[in-house]
Amino acid sequence: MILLLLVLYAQEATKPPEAVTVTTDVGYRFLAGQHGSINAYRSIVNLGEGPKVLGFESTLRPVANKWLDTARVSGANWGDPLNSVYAAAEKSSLYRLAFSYRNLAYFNALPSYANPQLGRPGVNADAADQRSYDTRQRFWNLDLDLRPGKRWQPFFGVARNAGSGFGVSPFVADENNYPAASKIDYGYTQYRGGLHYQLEHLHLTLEQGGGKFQDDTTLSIDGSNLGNRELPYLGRTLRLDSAQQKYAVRGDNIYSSAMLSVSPVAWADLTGQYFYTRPRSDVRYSDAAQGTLIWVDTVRFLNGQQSAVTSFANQPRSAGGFSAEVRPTRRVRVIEAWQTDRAHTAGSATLLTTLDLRAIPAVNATDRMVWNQSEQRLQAFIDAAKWLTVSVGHRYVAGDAQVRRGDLSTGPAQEPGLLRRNSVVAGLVIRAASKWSINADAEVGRGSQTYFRTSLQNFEQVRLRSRYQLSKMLQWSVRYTRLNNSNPTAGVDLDFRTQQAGTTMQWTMKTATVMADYTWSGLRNNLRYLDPMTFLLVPSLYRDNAHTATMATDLRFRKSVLTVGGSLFRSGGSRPTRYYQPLVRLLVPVRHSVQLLGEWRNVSLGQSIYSYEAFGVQQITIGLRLTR
Amino acid sequence: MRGSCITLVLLAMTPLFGAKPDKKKAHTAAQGYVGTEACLVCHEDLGKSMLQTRHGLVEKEKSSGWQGQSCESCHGPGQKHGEAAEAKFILNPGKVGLAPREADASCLGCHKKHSGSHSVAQVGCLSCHSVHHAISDTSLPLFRVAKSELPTTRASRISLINQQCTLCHGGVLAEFQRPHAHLVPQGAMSCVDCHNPHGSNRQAGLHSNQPGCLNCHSDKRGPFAFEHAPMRLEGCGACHEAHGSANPRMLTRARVANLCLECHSNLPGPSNRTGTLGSIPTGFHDLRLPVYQNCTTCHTKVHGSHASRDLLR
Repeated sequence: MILLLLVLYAQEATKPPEAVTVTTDVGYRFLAGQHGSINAYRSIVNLGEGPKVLGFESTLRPVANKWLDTARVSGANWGDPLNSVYAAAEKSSLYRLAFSYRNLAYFNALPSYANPQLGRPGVNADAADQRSYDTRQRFWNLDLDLRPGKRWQPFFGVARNAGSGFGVSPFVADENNYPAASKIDYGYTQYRGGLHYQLEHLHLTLEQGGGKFQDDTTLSIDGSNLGNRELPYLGRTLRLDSAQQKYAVRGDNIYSSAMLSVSPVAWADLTGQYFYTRPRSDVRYSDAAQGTLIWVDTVRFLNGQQSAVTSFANQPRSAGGFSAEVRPTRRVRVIEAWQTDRAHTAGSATLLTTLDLRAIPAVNATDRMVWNQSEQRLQAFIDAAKWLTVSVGHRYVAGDAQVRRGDLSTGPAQEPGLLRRNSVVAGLVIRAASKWSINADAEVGRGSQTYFRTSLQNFEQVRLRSRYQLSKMLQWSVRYTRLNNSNPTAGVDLDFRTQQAGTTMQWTMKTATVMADYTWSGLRNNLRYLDPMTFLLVPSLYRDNAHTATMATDLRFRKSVLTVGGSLFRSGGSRPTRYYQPLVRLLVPVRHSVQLLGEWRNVSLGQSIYSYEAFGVQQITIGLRLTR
Repeated sequence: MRGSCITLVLLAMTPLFGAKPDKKKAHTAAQGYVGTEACLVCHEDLGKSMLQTRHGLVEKEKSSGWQGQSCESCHGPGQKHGEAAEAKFILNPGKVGLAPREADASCLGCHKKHSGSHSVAQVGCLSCHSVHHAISDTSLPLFRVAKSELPTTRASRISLINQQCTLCHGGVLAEFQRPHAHLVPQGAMSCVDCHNPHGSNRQAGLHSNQPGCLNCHSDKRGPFAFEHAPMRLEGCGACHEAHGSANPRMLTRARVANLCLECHSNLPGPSNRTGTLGSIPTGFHDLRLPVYQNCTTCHTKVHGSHASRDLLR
């Protein structure tokens, strides 16, 4: 509203406005040749038929206006499940105001992820899985910066993100779980304000903010539901006749942050930052179920049960860091950085349960999780020659955590997690010729302790990138990355390796632009874990070898543009997949300020193991670009 | 009271780090400074274009210390260059082959807080930013795009920001072409929604002082009465491929059971002496049954629970 008023005021004040541009893309999308799983298509692509406002933008630049230099409103994809609006207004040295809004549909129903009934007679493979969503996520934020470029620059902001919609989520009861309809409704609103203070050798930012969170998700079952259990329990079939579950989560949060950059002398820069936050949650939860249920603790069958939980959690967190860059000579630069992140969560919950209208004693549970992590890095950069920069350094990461112990472990309520990792880093930048550069860096680390069996422990990481400017218009680059990680602890035997190699070419000519990229990636993970049924060590093997090619070629004939490209992805290994998205797009001038838009895109997914999720569709869009 | 104290502290610091910039900084003709007007005689297009960008503030604002001399704030004194009309007499941070550190020195003189991971990797400011042209909301890139091709809508600008990042990070572009990915190729998100290219104290340049992924996925924010440790200790990347995956929900494994059991495999003991977390499941789980192949069918609140110690509700 404020922006609109500004635009209207500016238009009034400057008759006629000197520069107004308006561009609008409108069109209609048709879908053709659709086959395969509709749910998978909606989970991955989710673009439908119908009229669309593909994009619009209006810019106003009034002449000598007291309150406005530029105002801009733009948006995209209205009619599609990922639409957005952006608006901004600006007056030099006075203010900058920006507003953005995004509305994204999140649909996810993939049986391969979570449909325990898949494979049973009569269960359709395209049925919604039991952790599915059909929701919308909306984000908006409004930011106001005052006095940009001045010494004191106050700033303010409000942001909100929220999700709402429907889905399927299991209602979990003893020895069975039942797919239930869920209604999702949550949102988080954040407020912030602060001050930038800027001098020639000092920049300081102080910020204070807070937020409110609410989640009112509910689950319900109305009618007989046999759940996911295939066999009777002690001779009786477990089932639900009705159930309700309700969450009422309320949370709030405050935070303060400060950041300081200082150059006290010409040969040194110092920076420091501090952040403190204290989010809290206050929760009321209740559920009620009727049917044939079992209470495992007493091996007793029930006709109904209710429970109510009140819980509270808070999570004070402090993070800070300091770094210094010192340049003792013209060719040497040394960076010392230290940072720490310290937090804990303290939670408590009270559970009241009623079984067949008989209350059982309340159960109180408390939980505490602590994590402190620090990292120290020292790195030196040496300009060994005009064409060569070498760097070498050391990184040390240490952390300690306290989490609740496993149910089967004895001893104190908390068990420790420890992290200790030393690594050496090195790198070099070679500018072999004015148009050729090579950038390489490596890190070799050895850890004595890690938080988890799969964490980085003994690792080597290499990154190599070379770029060659073949001509002013033609650039070619190659890259290679590799990460090896291992944990030789008996029973873990982790052997992880991932590699990626690729090449990119970009060629800009007078009548054509070509961007092409090819990437190969490989991932191998071997690990042993305990089978929870036999407690025998068995291997967990995961493989992923993928080839990806992307291309965008723009060919221009006078004022017409033909775009040919898209992407091809093909992988083998644990989940062989092919995903192709070729496209052709055409922009042809029809009249002055009117262009014809046309696009054809083919999207197809194939998976050899989960073939029921394959799909294919052709999207054809025809429209106009109107410019004023 | 607190606000007054902060103000007093700041005012006290002023003389130390930048008092009276316009007096202290004598960018005078004696030092070879000629002023922007003199530069515009030859470089009219560049100068006028630059003045329309946010760098125009340097020219207009007295507090910048370079009022009327904005060109020379980056390029240094122009007198000799003007007299000789030779490029070698002027500092040109955009010169091909110049070490990024040298090129960035003039930018970071003002943009102090922007020194970060790219700077450490010797990737200069001019690799991404266009200093003289207001070609997008943030004066971003597009060196290699002809002016006639500049995007007309914000959606296409987002695409171009992403395109600029993927010129170097081509492997990431490939990851987004996998079937289960964030909506970056569709232009609904940009790389800078999650990453701060100017550096951060968090891994991979993720925005600092913000909850990262939780900025959008606020329902996973917590705090929870019963936390799931990996979410806090290792972050979302412990289970998810943030850019894209062949597996649903962008998981790092094709089967959910493997993902969980790879960590939940430590035998119980009197106390954990190794410091490695993740104990075995307490119940009997027959992995041959479909119901046990996705642990989240029962453990629905895998990101943390307000009501169940076992993350069941």
